[in-house]
Amino acid sequence: MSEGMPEDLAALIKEKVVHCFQCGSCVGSCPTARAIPEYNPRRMMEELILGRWRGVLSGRMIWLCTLCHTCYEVCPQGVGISHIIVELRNHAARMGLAPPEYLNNVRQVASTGWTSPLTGAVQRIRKELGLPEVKTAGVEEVGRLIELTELGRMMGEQRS
Amino acid sequence: MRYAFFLGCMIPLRLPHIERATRMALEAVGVELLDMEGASCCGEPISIQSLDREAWIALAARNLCIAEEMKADILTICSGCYETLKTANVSMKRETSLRERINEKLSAIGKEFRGTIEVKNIIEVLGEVGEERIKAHLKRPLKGIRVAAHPGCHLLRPSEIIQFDDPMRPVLLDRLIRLLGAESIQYPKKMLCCGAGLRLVDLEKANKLVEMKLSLIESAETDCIVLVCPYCMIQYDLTQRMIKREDKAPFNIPVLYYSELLSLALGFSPSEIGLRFHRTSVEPLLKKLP
Repeated sequence: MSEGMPEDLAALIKEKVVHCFQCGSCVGSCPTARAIPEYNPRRMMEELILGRWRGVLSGRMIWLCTLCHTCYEVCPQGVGISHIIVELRNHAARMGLAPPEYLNNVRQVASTGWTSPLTGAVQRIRKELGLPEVKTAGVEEVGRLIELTELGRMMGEQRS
Repeated sequence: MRYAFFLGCMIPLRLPHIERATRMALEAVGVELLDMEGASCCGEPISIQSLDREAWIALAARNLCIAEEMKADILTICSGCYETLKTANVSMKRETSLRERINEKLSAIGKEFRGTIEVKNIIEVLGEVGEERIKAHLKRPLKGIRVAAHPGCHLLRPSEIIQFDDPMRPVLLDRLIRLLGAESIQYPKKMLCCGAGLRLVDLEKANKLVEMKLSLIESAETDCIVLVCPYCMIQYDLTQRMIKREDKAPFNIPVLYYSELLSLALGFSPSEIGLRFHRTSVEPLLKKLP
């Protein structure tokens, strides 16, 4: 079942996820589970323990976490579920399974240094409020750093 | 007291009125704000952390280096930036191997993380200014105003990294609200996330979450919501205008960033801090001010 599983994912399950005793504290405190009843972090941990990691990585569920880290605080076993979810997303992204909305955000940061564009309307409001002009964002350095990471490779594959 | 003022993206580029109120209020109570030339997006805690955690830390490290060169601790005014920069700072100070890997990347742009500064949030810095000193500057105590505080998530969690206030039962934002003469009310599900982190992949459900929170806050008969994160601000202030309720009138709850509330108590006028740029009108609150 663990065939082909990336080594660090196997280690994460062995060191952290196996401690989950399925109490459901994470589900009870989860904001997403309130809005989307099918979302269930307890079941996600169960799937990993049972070796069904491929399904977890390719499914939509891992992308629905708000990363509020409440499950991280309430888990009596210290599983660190929100951190596990970040790791799962990183693995899924490496397999080319990242949501396009996320990749678009990265593209914006890589090309401008910011997550939002500097619009003419905002520049006018800033002036009206007596605020200084927005400083440059060191966009060349930001772009260079992204190129040097796994993220840069992902963005490259997206383009080609 | 001087800080490298880390603005992030959302406040200067989408909610500049918050930057205005923050600059005015902090300078009024004696905090000197140093602009950070070349600072970019913090590293982005939702998309970039989720796609490549190491790229997230590397981008944050670049911003940390700018403050290190300025020999100043960082003051953040966005909880997403706070989580990002604090995680990078704490993790690289703790883990030598991570620090080495990141420094190898930073060397390509002529920078090096040394671990010489701290990352702080606005509540923390106001705590350092001290209640007595803030009180001495108050010109218009907000007596009789009922505030629903929304501390939000990344100001507090994950506690193992953040180590600021209690991660599930925080008190410091409430204390700063009471300091201004207002009342910080209790309401159900106060610690529940606003849902902003869901906006990217499921806007409808993100709105559903904030609608639930707004209903609970409305039932608690509050004069305004007070928060310290621009992403929470967009959820409460902007989304509030978009929610259509079949059986009830639209929500009409003013939403203020803490420095805006502080500015009012310091005697600044609503027009000089740009309260007109809020999407949900703050008039009902202004009418109640003493």
